[in-house]
Amino acid sequence: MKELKKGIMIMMTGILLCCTTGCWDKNELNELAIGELVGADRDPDTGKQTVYYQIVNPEAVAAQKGGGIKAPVYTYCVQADSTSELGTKTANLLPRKLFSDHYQSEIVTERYAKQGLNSLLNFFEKQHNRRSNLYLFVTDSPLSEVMMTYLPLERLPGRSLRSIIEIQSKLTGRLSRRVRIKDLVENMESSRLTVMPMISLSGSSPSPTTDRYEKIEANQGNLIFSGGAVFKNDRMIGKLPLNQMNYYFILKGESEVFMESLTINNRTVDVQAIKPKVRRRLDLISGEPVWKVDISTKLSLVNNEQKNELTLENLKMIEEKFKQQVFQKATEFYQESISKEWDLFGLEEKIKYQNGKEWDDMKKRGIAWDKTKLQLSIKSEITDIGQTINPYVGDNDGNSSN
Amino acid sequence: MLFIDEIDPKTFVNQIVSTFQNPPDLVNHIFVISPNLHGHCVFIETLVDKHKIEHELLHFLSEESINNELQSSPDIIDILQTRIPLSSITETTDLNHCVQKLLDGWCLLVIECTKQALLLDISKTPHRNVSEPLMESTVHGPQEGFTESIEINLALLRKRVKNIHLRIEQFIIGTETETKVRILYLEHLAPTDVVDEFRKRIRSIQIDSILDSAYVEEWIQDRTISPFSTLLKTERPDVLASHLLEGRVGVLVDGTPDALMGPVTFFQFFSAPDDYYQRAHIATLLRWLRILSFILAILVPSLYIAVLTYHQELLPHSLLINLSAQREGVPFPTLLEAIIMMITFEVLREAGLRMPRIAGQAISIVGALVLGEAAVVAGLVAAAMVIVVSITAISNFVAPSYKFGITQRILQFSYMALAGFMGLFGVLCGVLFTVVHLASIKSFGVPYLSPLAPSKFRDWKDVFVRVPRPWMNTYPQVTRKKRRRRI
Amino acid sequence: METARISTWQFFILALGYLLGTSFFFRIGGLISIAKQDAWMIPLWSGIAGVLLVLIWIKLANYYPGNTIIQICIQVAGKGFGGFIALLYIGYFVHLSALITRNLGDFMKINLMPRTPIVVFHVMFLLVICYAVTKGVETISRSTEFLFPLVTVTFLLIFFIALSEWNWDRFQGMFHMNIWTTMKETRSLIGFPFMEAFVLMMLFPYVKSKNRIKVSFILANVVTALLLSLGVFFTIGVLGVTRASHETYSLFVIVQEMHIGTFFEHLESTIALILLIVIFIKLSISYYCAVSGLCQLFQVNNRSWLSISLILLVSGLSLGFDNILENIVFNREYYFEYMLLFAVIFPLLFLFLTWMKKGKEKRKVVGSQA
Repeated sequence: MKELKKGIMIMMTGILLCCTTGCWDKNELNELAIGELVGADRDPDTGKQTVYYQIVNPEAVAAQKGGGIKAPVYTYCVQADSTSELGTKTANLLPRKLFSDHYQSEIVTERYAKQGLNSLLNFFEKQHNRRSNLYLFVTDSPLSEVMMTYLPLERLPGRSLRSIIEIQSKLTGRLSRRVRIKDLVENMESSRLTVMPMISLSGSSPSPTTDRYEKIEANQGNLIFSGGAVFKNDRMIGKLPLNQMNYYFILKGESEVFMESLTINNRTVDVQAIKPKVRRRLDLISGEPVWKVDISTKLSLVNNEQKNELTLENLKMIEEKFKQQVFQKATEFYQESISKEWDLFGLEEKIKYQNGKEWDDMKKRGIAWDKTKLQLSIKSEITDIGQTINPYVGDNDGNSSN
Repeated sequence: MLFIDEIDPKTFVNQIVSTFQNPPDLVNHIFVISPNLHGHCVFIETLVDKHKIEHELLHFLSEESINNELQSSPDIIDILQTRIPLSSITETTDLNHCVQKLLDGWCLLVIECTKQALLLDISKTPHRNVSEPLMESTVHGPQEGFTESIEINLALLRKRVKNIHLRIEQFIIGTETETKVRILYLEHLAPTDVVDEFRKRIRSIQIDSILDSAYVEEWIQDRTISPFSTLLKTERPDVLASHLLEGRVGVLVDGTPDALMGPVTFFQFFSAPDDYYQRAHIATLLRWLRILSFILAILVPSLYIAVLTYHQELLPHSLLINLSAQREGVPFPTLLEAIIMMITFEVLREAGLRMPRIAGQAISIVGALVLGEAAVVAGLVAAAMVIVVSITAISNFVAPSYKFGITQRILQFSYMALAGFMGLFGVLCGVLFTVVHLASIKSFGVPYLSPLAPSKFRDWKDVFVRVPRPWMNTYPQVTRKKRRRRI
Repeated sequence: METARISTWQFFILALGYLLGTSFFFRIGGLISIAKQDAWMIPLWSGIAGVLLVLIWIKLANYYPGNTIIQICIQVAGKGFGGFIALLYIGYFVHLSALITRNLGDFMKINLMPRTPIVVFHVMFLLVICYAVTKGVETISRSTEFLFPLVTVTFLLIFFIALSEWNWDRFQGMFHMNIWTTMKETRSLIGFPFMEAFVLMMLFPYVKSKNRIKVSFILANVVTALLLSLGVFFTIGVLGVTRASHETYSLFVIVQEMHIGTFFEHLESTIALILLIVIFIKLSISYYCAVSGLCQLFQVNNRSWLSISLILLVSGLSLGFDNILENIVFNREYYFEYMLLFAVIFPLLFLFLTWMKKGKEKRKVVGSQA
């Protein structure tokens, strides 16, 4: 019995010693540099990579007890020839261990995106402590300026960018939430194009000091959403202007909301479609591929500047106008993208995977995906007209612009 | 060995007195029946009802008519046995037996020239009155608690279970203390094997003294090395009654206000007597609350350590920044900080238990101000740590059984150590170990985790929910061997 | 032999936990990378193969009621040859335990704690397993019964939360597979988990009602096949074929990217814990079989010392692979053939020998009557 006890004691000691090795992965909270926003650039000529890290200064962000406003983030810049060298150089610079789990957003420069993000994305997917569900932005402003500006109100720039996406997808429909790194990665091996948001710096110069928190003027040196970057596989091939973004997302079926400004009786009427239902189907009509998109939605009247009273006929008119305008603009957008050979909706793959004799015939005849026609049908009904029925009639001539 | 029929009664009495080494409370009263017939009345005056001896026994013995009768009759003992106005009278010749009974508070009556002695039960020991249970207070329901006297305790139980099937078996255990231990059960409900097991285990006790039911518990429990208890303890007669009525077995020990009950399952530690004295849905909600606080009490400190030192990514972003700001400048590693705070709290609690009531206030001031406020302001601990300690402590007190609270503390500290070593992996290994341990325990043949594992769905009426009384019409399956339905 | 008894329900849960447990984590990505959008069909036909195998095993077990596979070996083929085969079986049980242990270590090391030495995970977990095994099969089945609902609820939760990522477009290109090559490439799915389930033959003698083993075992196989198929389907719909076939642990990635609002994010450590629980179920069974097999073969009564010393062997063997790629390749290329020996060839051999013996006895009886 005594020997047994001794044996158990020795074993327990061994086990406990073994367990202490667990501490190898231990990090105290104040040994971490919490990364919040990361920006990457690559010089096309020299191949040099530049990475900016924005590190949170927790004491300034957490509830303050006096002491005024302190810098919420610090930006570190590292330049290196390869990804692994980046790691060592980061260690030279940062006094704490970089904690990358909580990145809020990632920015790449336009020129980097045009060279292809392959290495960056692969690196990202390989790391266990990096999340591919963070939003990726492309910027056309100089990265050093984008990364060196303080933003008012939402003081963590990474968060601020994240909320741009949330707000755009909820309020204007010009973005969907599916603009994350993983959405880009998923299309890396397919012919479908991906659209990522672009941001640029507003105003002429960044505001790199905390003085800006004391100014009332908020526009200067702010990051604003400026359009879409079109990626083929991992390479950026073009831009979408802001005013086409909502047509892209509604055709893709990802919009949560859709805004349209109509002109009726020479006066402006703004309508909003909330959660439009979009059904998309590829069909073959007399040997030609046709992409059928049915949009059915309920509209709410946001703004009505007409002088007329709001009657049922008038509502019908608005609905009709909405139908026409969306049809026209979306078709325009579609044609434009086809003419640029942009397969934004993955039609090439869709056709490839179609089974059946007719489809095979079609493929044999060598009709490419870009011959696909768009057949758009829109159904809408106004269900919400707002708090007033008839608009107040004032004295002005009702020009919508002021 | 001495017997009265072998020697002179007078010598017998002297022998008894000298056995006791003549303590001050031993009374040897000599009374006269007739000039040539003397009697001895021996008792320990601290253990008997003196009033009864003086006013009933001695008064009776000095009556003229009796004296006459005794003088004339040849069989004095027989007359005394039938005529003395007391109910428990036995005759004996054995000296050792007499000594034993004297220690129990009986009175020894020896008449010279007779060959037998009489023992009369006039015991009266000082005891506490029936009062409210201290540890298990309830809002509703009966407010009587057990006392230190086994007779009163039994009376409290009998009062509630008026049933001819109630069986009481007495054992005298403890070579030095000769303590009464009684097992109680309802014969038509309690499974025979469980009762046999109880009997067997109690008979196997070899101990010199028993001062509390805990002494018995440690002998008859299923597992010695385990933080979990396989016997329930209660100081409420109503709880004991309710368990007996579900076919379990109770153990009463003389000199202690705690009754033991078994077999017990893990989930019974989450039910409080209150559950049955208020509406079913409230009882159910409260039970969930207790389970939640059990989980909180054992896991919160360890999860805090694990998340803060190994899995920071689990924290929401703003919380991470907040905690990070709090920990800025705290000199200790999280594990050490947690251990210091938890141990300090344990010390405080123990001090609060042992301290004289009057000094109690000092403790609370020191605890609240120094540990809570000052430590944070001085930057020695993070404010979040103080919150963690408080949550743990408060949840710990929710446990209906004090014993179970101690179990929680053992688990909580071992999980903390594991969390410090291996993060969540360590905690999970600890939890798995605990689950395996729980699954391996049986309490008097009943699996500890039943009715969940092995699953007996019918018994879930009183586990995670407490269904209204009319639906609780069957006995639990483990004790259902003899009868299925309650009515 | 223990005098333990487990109920049919407990056996079902054990079988289900054993079959589904780890395969749900480690199989899905591999299947998708081979069969793309059609991967969800593979578990279905593998499940059918699994059911057929179960029928063989049950047939064999029915000839020797109350005996484990080790005892059957000895009874059928004698002390010498039978003992040798029994030893091979025990060797396999130990190897299997080592493989499962390694799965756990790899997972923890790759995803959660990259700097901790892998042995620490192994030893620490094996200690818990060892404790469970020492306490016996009743304890294992009761703990499984206790933990199973926990795992199920968590999985359901994950499913419902992750469904927000669902996209039907990801199923484009279904029904395009070459059935024969796919079958050949995914044959290892029959090996793991379906063939592995013969390990459960070690538990047959403990089940209370013998005639319901068959039903519950087959049911467990069917449920496993369906749930695996559902899991693959779900992974395709949520993660997409491209990413699922690149990731080592697709289910883990799903949870990694799951979020409830913007407040609860990065919940992957919690899923890791669930994985640990299912590995616990599987490992405790295989480890128990190794230990009790040894006990039965060498007629040892006390399991505890055997199980403690086996920790060293298992944790040593589990270091056999250098990295997870070797493990995956072994699994894909050789595992099916390896398992074929234990799960099909030996049982069939035993059945054959049994029939021979029976035939002989019959002839003898007939002969003596004549």
